[in-house]
Amino acid sequence: MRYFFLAIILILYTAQPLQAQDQRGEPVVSASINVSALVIPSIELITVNSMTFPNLQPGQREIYVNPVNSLNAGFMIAVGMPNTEFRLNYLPERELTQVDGNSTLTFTYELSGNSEENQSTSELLELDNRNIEFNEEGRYYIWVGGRVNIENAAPGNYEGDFTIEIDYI
Amino acid sequence: MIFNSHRIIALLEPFKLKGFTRSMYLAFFLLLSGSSINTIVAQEIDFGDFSSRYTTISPVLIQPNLDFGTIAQNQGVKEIDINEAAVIELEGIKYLDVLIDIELLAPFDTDGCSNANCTLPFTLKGAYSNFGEDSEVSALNNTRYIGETTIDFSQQTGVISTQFPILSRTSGPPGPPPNPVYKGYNLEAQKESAYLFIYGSINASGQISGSYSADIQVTIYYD
Repeated sequence: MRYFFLAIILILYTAQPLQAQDQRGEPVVSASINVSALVIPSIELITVNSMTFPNLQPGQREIYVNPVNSLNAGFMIAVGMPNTEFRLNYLPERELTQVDGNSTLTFTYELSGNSEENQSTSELLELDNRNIEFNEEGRYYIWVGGRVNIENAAPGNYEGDFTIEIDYI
Repeated sequence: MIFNSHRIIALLEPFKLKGFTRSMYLAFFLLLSGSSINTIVAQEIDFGDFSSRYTTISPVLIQPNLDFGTIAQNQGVKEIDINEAAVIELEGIKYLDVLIDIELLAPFDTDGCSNANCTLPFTLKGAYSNFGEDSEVSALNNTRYIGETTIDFSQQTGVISTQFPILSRTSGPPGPPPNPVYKGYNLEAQKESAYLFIYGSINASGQISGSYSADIQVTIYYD
């Protein structure tokens, strides 16, 4: 009788793998999806020269720094992926604050840009430019000028920031 | 009265076999019950078991690429959502389940890459639609999320899997089993399309510039 039960147990054990046999077939089909991306260098904006103002003449009502031809214009270089388009925008009006007082002046900026390092052939940039391209070396040159009315300005030193935003399209 | 009580006690006496101890009985019934459980699990009717003998699934690559375009080195996460996903149309027998593995076999990197600086972490996501839609556009209105997995330099492969019928079943109790396939059976009338959407995101955090690529393999079985 003991052998009889041992035989039953043995049959049950050997039956289990048979129950687990899956009739699933081979992979029917497969397809392939390609994933791609192009990693490009991050954009850097390097300030080479800050904008300076010429000495004021008595009775002068306005200061104007022409970004295309003034030696007082600020100079910046944008560095990025060669031959890649980017967009550039900036706030044209910024407030300059008197260093030793409470007076303010409103400065209206003007920018010019060029793919070559040549200010005289640079072109004025609109507020929101979307068709600018880095040159073959991944550079774009920017000159910063503008105008400010000083008719009612209090004497003193004024300073302020200027922000340009550049991003790949 | 005493006589009757004695007879009841005699009936309740356990069945015994010569030479069998209590522990042997216990072991035997445990084995028997274990076998019963396995037997119950095995009671699954897979109508698709032999389906590959008479039909195949036809995958159509509607959108075979997942192109993230340009991304700056330190841009962070860039995502392709389901509306811009790679799309595979699966034409199959509507009442059969399909098992699907979506697998990235190698990391998302540049050619000859061997370190993390040239590997973009990639989060693979998947969804499907099996409501008998006519196109991938209308299918987008009713999708079910499969899941996601992130593959990077340390986790070089990843897979997400799912199972669903080609045509979603209506609620309520299951209907009768389908007709067996016989000579002259119009199998074409039983075909329907489901849609598979593959999408995800990458994370640029200072990786070297260059072209990155990888292949996602989608494997489809009938259950």
